[in-house]
Amino acid sequence: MTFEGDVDGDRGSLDEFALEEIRKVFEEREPLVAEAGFPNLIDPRALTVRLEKGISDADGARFDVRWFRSGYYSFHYTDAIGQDFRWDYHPKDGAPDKHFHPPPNPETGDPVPSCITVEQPELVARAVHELWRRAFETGSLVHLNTADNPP
Amino acid sequence: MTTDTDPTHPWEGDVNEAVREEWREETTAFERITSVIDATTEPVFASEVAERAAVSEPTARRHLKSLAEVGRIEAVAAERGTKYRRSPSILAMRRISALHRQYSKAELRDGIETLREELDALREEHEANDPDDLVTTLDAGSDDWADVSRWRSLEENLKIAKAALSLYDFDPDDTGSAAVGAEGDTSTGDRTTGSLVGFGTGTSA
Repeated sequence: MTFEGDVDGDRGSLDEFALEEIRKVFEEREPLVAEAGFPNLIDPRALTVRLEKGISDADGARFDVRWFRSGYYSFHYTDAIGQDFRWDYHPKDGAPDKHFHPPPNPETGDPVPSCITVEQPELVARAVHELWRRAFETGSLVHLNTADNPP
Repeated sequence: MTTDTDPTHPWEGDVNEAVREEWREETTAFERITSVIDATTEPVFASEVAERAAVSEPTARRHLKSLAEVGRIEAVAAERGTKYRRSPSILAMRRISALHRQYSKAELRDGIETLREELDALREEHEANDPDDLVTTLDAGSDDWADVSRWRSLEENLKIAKAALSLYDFDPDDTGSAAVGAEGDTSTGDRTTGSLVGFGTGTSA
């Protein structure tokens, strides 16, 4: 299921200011960020963070980040070689509110509890970035959702 | 882009504790308090802000009081003291100002038209006047929750875009810049077509 069809309940409208904080976190902390922002400020739907490289030598990658007034969110990673996963926080039947849609395909796999427990936009962004960075460094998706390091 | 810490160096222990610790080391108490309150949509006590921002309660109280006095955040009288939350009008004004800065009059008019069309389509599809109408008809498992959220965003985006458009007629200091904008219907401001833009451009602290 795509993120849009995945939410069971009212999550409120998009929170552009939380997304602005998240944009700063990625830009300040990740040297591979090529660009981060909104394609259209009149109708912002998600923050796009473009990365020069993805995990396992993927040629390009991106995060699409949604944050809502309710505090619910979605950090969705996709890249040039089809790797795809996301950390979500929103009401969902049959899964905890904070859950992780594992690779290779979040649309078909069952979500598992997320290892991210912090809730501030800035902290969630930092945690997502750290988890992504470790996967990038090791070239492995196995421990994406493992809070402990070393795993 | 540079960072204080090496991004290639992994954390040790639990990632949630690690990012909280890093945040505390890299930011001032004031920065953390504004960051927490900017993410706070429901009024909270200073004690809650203190806990989330990892500062002492007197420090949180002092900064929150000052921020409220200058209108940066809102103070709300509660039964047992004062609660605080981010200021919706400050946030709205930041968005309005970003749109006015980055889009021409013509672009704003086009954008408004597109938003209206999508709103009409939602009204028609759900036979409801507004998102709250739609909510009353939905079950927990309904596929339409995404439309509720989208609808709320669209209504808000429309108000913001209309306000940004009206700013083109507002020039109290008589600088002529509003008139220039009004004539230059095709100007594109400082927005580069096709690239990503942020709300913070130009005015962020």
